Amino acid sequence: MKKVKLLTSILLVLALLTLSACGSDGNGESTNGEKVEKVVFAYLSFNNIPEDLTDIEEAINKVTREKINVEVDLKIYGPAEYEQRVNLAMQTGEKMDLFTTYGGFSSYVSRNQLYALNDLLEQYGQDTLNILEQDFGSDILNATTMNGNIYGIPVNKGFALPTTFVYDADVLAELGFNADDIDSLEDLPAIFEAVKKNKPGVVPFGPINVNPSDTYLMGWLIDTLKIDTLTDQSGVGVVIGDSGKVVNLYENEEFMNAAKMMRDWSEKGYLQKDAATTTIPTSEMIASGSAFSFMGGYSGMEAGAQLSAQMGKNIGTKRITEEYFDTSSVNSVVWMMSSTTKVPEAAMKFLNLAFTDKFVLNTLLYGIEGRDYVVVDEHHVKFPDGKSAMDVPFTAQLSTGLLGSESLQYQLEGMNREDVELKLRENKETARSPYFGFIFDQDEVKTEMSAINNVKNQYLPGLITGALDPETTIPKFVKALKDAGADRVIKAKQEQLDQWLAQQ
Amino acid sequence: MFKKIRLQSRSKATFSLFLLAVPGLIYLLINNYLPMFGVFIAFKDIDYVKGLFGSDWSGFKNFEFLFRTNDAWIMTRNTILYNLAFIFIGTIVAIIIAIFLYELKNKLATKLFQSSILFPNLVSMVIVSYLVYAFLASDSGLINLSILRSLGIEEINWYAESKYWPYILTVTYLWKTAGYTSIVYFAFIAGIDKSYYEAAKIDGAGKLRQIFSVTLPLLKPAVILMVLLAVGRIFNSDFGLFYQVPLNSGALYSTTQTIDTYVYRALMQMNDIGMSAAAGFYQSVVGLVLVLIANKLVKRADPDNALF
Amino acid sequence: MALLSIVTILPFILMIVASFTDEKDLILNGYRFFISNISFDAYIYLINQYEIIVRAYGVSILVTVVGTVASLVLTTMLAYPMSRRDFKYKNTLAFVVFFTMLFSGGIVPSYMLWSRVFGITDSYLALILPNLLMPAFHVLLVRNYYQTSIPHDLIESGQIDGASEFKIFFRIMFPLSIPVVATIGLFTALAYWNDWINALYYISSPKYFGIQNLLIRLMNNIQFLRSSEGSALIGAGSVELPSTAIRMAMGVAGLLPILILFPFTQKYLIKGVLSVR
Repeated sequence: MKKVKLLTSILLVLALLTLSACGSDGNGESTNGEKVEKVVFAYLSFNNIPEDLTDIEEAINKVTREKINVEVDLKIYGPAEYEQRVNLAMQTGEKMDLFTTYGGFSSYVSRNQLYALNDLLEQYGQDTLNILEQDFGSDILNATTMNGNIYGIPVNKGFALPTTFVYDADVLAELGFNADDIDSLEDLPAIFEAVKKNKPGVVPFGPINVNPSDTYLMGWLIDTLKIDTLTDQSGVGVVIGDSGKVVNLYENEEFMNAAKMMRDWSEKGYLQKDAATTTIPTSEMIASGSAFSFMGGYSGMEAGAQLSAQMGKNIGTKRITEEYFDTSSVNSVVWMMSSTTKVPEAAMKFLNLAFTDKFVLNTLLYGIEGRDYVVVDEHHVKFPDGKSAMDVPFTAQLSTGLLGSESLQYQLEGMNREDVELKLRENKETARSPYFGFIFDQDEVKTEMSAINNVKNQYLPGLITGALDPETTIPKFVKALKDAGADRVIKAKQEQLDQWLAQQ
Repeated sequence: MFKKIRLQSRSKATFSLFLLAVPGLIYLLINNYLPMFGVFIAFKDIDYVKGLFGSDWSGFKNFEFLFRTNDAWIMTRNTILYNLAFIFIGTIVAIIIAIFLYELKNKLATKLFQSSILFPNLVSMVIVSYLVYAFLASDSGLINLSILRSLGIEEINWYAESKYWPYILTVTYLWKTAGYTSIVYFAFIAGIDKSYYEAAKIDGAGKLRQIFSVTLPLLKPAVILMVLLAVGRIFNSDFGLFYQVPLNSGALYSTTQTIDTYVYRALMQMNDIGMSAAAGFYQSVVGLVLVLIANKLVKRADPDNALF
Repeated sequence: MALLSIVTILPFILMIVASFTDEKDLILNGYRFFISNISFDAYIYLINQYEIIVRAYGVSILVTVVGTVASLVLTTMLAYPMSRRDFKYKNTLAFVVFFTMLFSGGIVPSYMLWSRVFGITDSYLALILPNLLMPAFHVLLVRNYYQTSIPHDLIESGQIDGASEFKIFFRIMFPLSIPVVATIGLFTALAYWNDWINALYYISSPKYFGIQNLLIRLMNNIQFLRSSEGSALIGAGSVELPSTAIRMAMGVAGLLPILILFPFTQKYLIKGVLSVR
């Protein structure tokens, strides 16, 4: 009796679900009587997100209704929940048309969640294609093309992030050095030693990121050796230079040398003993006067000024490598269209405006002129007098790195416009890897990749912070990777790479 | 005549009792049983274009990653051993605390004490991890700095030595949950009829004897319930405890990796709902089998106290 | 005894002290029990957002009270029949309830059901209904309590007196079950107060943010911004990253109402226990 009741309820609900899954999308009427299409546009904001976005939407819709007969429904989420919300919406069949990702591009492709944009770009995205060519080069879309299908559009900004040494400039001067003394990593120990001797209580060097700790040693290694990571961050299966051979980066002699150097630094006290597990990024330690430097990838020349404002100290920067573009340099932040969208043309038209229309783009970022920001000159804006990012009704100013085209974005007053132009020049000038455009499809080795991720998290933070002894640890690390299936992954990558090369 | 009336009121009673149960059952249906159909996701290769219902079946492919490597054995071993330790030690400690609580004559003391032992349970594991870090940080932690250094013992890099962590995590677990569990036992102890204690006292039993002959035996049903429930979750673990508290330190994996942390780390990059559904399914099935066995054993020994 | 109390409270004192410590001090010296440089910066940051925080407290209190009361009624009503030795379906129900503790379809089907079929997104119902309204564990606890601590004679005498089962439940069982009801009431209230997962999935509108949800979002955002992905994504512009001290202050803020109300709820727990004695 109960079982029958249960079954019928289940059937009933399933029926309801399938019915509601064919939900209706509300379509309004535009001024000239044609049906206006609605597009859901989801992006990340690091600022406060207001409860009510209708005035921003209205400001944009006034323009988009006229130009392209489209109304936008904005979904803005904070970084902690953005990915979850977007994924949940797609998994449960909610309306989700345009969204972005950080680093997850190829997984979205292999799960068939993306709409191929080739024809749509041809028809409705010419402006976008033009500005992409202008700001980077027409090869930019190779980084988001798989099997001939263009699955996304990278955010259009400066991508060159050469390894940069970041330090407390006042302390450096105090010790009698200057920026010219820093050309490569070899020059650093001398400085660190001086810091240790003259400033006890100040840690010379630390990780740029925590959880897990990252000293950017791998980032430096990749630039120096011209490594193409073949679009995954595991380090298993990379190509060095133009050798065409896929190898395990961790078996490479240079990796051992780099780890040994870091170990040496750690033993000499240039890093904290618990650098591998600390929860405090070095930037905060510098701000409190208890650390001296760290290393990371930064674009343009203004990083020093921005970091100084952030940390409240006089921060200097010095580039120590040349940037090298592989596919993942460019396809980290990508704008994509959901494969479940019901309005692909309308979505493409809107995305086109987001990349090329100065008004739409800057409204998404800065809100409403006069209320949320004030124009200073052609390229600069500022917050209204007496207000800051915390007080205005709406701002997403911190999202400039993931939306639209940097060349069209307003900058905050005080920032240097020339820097943007420098970054765009560097886009054109930076060397591309011969395998730029190759994207690895992880699907057939996803079991191995998951095991490899675990092994990597186990050993790598300790190795790149000098907490573990490389001589004894790296062999264990490599063996654990092999046990996890590293060889299968390398083989799969080599096969896919050879295939891709043959098609070029 | 009498029998007939009893039978009638019997079925009426059954019906009324059933009615009382209905609202709760409806909730279980909606909240738990209907969504259970999602279990099938573990067996599918989800393709978003085809949707959840249209995707292809993939058999046990999503389960492979759980058994692939040496890690699989380590994580399973850790999960089981920790849970066994937690069940065993946790129950003993909770009962001791509950008995103490009950015996306290001073009302104020009882209140204060009860509040304080419950506090740890209210704190999120993220904060607990900061607190543990305050004790165990290698340079500035309380233990290294104030205790070991002053005793002249060499300082320990806690987050790099895996051998201490079974103890650290067990103590942390007890600190967080013993208070909570003890309140459960406290309620049951409170429900024991005072006359039992009177009878024991008359027989000349002292406090300790009373505890062993009255309190503990009458707590048996509660203990069996809690243990059976814990057995059902023996393949699960508190994610916060095993991921946040060790600060996600790779060096400690051999003693802190559990099935839940492994799954999280494995799928963090990949967001594959088929694989995570498979992991959940695996844990549930094992738990169910173990409980069925345990319940059968209990039924044989002590039929009234079986779970079902 | 006293030692145990101190041990459990110790880490809290650490937390509270840390929230009042100057940030630079925290980074330099780690967590200490004695404050060298008092700073109210952490709390000033929070107080600047007081509107949001006060509203969040309000939401949490409303949800906790309503949810707990509803839960108690639902739970005891289900547990009682299960506890009756003479009830035909007691074992079936026990299995039905227990099974839900083991198997779950996961968030995706639950979300689809609650949000699409029942349409509870962005409402108080979303904070009350999913998952927390009647935990299977509580049902089993109450059932066990009824089985062991309430003699069957009471029920029989009620039956002989001709009382209906409903009357027996409300007049006899309910009053006698105060210790266990107080216990699960406490647990349920804590669960509602501390929950942030329901809000994460079902609530986008800030007017429904409860206090824990708010704090966790803030903390997660901070942690994300500190991670590799976050710092790479942020465009130019200085970010006021709340510091360690603020994180501690947020933790304290989340606990505050409980710390205040707890002694009062204790009164009922103790009273219930003593009355049965």
